[in-house]
Amino acid sequence: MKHFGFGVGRWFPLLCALLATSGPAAADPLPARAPEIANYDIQVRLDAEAKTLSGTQRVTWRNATGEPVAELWFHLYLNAFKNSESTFFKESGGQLRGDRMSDDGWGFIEVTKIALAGGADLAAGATFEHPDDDNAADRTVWRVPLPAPVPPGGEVALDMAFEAKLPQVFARTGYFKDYFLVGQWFPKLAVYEPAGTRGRQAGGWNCHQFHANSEFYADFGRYRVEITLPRRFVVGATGKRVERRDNADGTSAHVFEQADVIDFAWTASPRFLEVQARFSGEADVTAKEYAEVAARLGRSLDEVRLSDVDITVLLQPEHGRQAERHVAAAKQAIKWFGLWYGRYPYPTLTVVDPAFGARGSGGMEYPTFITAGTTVLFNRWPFDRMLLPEEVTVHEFGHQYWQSMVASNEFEESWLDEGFNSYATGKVMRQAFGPWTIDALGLRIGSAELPRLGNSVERMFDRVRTPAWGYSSSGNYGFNSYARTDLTLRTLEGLLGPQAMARVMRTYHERFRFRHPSSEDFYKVVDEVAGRDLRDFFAQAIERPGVLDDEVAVVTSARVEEPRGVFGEGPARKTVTGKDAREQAQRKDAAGGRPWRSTVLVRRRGEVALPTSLRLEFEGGESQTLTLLETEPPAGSVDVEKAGLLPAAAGSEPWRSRFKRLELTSPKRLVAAGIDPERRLELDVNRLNDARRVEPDSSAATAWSARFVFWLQQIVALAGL
Amino acid sequence: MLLHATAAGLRAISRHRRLVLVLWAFGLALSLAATFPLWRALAAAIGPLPHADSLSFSAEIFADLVELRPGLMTGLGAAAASTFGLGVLVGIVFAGGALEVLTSRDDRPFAHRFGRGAFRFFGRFLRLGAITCAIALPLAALVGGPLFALSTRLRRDSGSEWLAIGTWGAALLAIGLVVLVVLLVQDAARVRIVTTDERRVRKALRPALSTVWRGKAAWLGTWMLNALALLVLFAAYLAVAEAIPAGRALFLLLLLQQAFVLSRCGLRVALLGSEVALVEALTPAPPPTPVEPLPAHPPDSAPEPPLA
Repeated sequence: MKHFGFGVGRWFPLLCALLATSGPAAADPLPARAPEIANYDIQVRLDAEAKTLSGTQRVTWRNATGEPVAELWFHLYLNAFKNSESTFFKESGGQLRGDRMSDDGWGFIEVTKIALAGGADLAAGATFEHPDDDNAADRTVWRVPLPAPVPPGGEVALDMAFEAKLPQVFARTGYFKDYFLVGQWFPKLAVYEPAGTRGRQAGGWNCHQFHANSEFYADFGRYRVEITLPRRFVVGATGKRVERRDNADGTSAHVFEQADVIDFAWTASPRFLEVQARFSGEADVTAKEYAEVAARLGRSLDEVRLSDVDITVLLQPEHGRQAERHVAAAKQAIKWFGLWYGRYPYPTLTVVDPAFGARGSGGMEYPTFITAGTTVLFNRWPFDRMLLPEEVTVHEFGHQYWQSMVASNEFEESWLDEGFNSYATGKVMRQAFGPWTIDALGLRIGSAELPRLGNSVERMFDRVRTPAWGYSSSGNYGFNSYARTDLTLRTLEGLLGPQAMARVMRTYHERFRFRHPSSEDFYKVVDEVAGRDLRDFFAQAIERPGVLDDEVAVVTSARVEEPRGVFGEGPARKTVTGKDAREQAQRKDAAGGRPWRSTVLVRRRGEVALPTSLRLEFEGGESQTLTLLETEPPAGSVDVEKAGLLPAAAGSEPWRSRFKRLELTSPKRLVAAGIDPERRLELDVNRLNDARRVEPDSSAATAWSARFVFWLQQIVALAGL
Repeated sequence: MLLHATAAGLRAISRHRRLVLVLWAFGLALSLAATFPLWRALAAAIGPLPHADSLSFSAEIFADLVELRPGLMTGLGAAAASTFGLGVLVGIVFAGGALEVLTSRDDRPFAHRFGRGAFRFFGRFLRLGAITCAIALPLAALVGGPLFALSTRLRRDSGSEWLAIGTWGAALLAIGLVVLVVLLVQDAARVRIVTTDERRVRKALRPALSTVWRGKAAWLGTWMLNALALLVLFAAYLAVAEAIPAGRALFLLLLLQQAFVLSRCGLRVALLGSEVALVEALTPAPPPTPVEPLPAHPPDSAPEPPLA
């Protein structure tokens, strides 16, 4: 019985070497390699008729912590589909993103063998755990005690065998007829977090159950996976295909390998239309683009230069006309994510177009392997002008950065994953394809506007940083994890400026590529790069529930009245009557006009207080912008650049209470006042109260109504048939 | 017959331009009335906004209106729904008046003939509409329902996107065809009611159905030509409307919109004119009234009746 023991000495130098290479290098801040914590060598056979998998795997786990570890925890996530009692099923109700589970589409996984490599059987002591809830029926987390702890720097190898039945696709993984999207399919190790990691008091396994809204948190490693299945299948997978063998029994074996990844997924279908393309760091990026990005990020040209990537798009045949759209979207994503955050380090990218009937497996992200989603309608006008396939492709590719390489904990801090990616997706889409996601038949909707649709007081009862299953509703998980984070980061960009924000995101990615950062890690990077303490910003926007709603409540402007009444004492006492005052006013008006006295009342309707500015617009087109600081300014003259977050304006005013009244006298009449005129504070829930005219103008309402009249006339014509 | 009907439709437009104007005015008045409360609400909501784009639609402001003024959006939907309901009634009034104008031969003033037809046939057309609705809805459900169910099943089980979408499209088409045929029969019945002054609505339906059935190609062809013309007009409208720059050209856009609506009203009058011609052409001539044959020669022997 061979024993892959727990010796330290043999591996420790290698561990140190790996850790050394995985840290930021002086020459290139991007780490070249991930630490290899969990390595897998898997052989799996697909029975395409029975929809089952039979697999064996050797798992090697290295204890990179300073603590001995006495047990291993595994994800057995296919068991989320085992029955209606799983936590996933209870949370999702058997439906997700519009797809409903079929009556007999259950899936599960059973580990039939687990033993130390060549050694003792470990199955006897293994138990199912349910760390997130009291659901004893959930079978997605499996704890395996070891006969002896793995010492710091040591490693353990296990031989495992498993049998799995794939679910019929309705959420993420499974089969539909002869289409297979096989994700979360093998016994996968969780992440051991030593004390101090992401705020932990004591070391332990971070292993969450499979939830309706989250499923990713794993350690990096090297994967070698051999997939055997009927020869007619076209196969795509994480990593690079290193071998394909045709067997005598009519099957083929496809071997894929990839290092520095946290997961492995694959797909198979005989119907796939396989499109190959190549992203070239030379041909697909101009010298000017390299230079501009390098200058903006403060990096050298070598640091921003991109690598070549082989792109495979596996399309449904009926979507063949959209091959170029998918390739173009993938190339744009590789380009802009790579330029802005760091080059894509893998040699391949596979984009899968799910089968019709298996749309639940669309819009998913796995390392070097993403699923998109489209429809035949997008083949033709006017739907071809809706960039939804592009947006899905760009978004799922973005998860290579925010989830896969910067491997934050999606379960506990989904905003670092989905939210960062939503923010980055929007930026890439606008950069690569222009402002409009939909531009057809006169209807234009931009990616910048869509997140605002849900930006409502109703959605503000949750704090952004909440475990994915802990939000008050699934809708609030979606809004806070995606849209509100996007708006928060856009607000941060508005306050810091585009260049500083670009450097924040780049630095964060460089520093935490192939690592597991927490929210605090991001906060520290922001403080460091921006050179300011932004804890209060994140406390308000991320750590606490709350609404940002600044408003201009009142704007008035009127001529300064001439004084009237009794003035002076004794013989000098003089009475100015109303008539006198009016005559005096007329004389002054004839001589050039009296000054105007204006009042502006700004109010803070929400709990969130951020620095903002106020633009005062005067008759004749003149305007003046004041900075409203969120705190009292330092004594003496205010240097806005240092005191607040906004660039210097013509003047500044402290604003600490819930309202502020400004009184000013000016030679010209105030016509309007607007808060946050540069639209820095995207988090503001109500733009309708951000500005106000002294005299309302109904022309906008008239213009909109006129258009409405036209469409009502069409309704009348239709009704009169 | 198709050419004859089309020519009759075109003649109807050229001879009865006032009908087109009346239809346009009805629609405009109704739409303006329904829009007025909306305009007031909008003016209150966005009037104070200096950044409300006064001359083009602002999706950003619209998004906030949807989110923050749900009442406004509900009002918008209510305005559309009530306009549709009133539009049905206006359509009935107009059909009576227009058919009277198109079929009557007297030389009374236009307003007299239109008003006479509108009020005289309103009740009958209302009953006719109710009956056609009662026929069309279950018929459409009968035809479209199974196809929709099949489409849903195909979407879930077949794996063929084209098949599922095609079946869904076929369901829509079938429902559209049922509704169209029922509407054409209703139009034929309306013409018969106006030309024969038939008071029993149900009695007018059977010959109307027979008229449409006998000339089904001509009826469908006429309708399709009309629909095609409308489609071409709409495409032209969209092309020109997109070319009008946002900003001060709003007035041009409004003019263009009303030109399109007027053209649409013209097409409606043309369709009515064509349908009158089709009913006339397809209605069998009444059998000749039997006439007592006159004796060729009075019998010689018959004595002359005595003069009173």
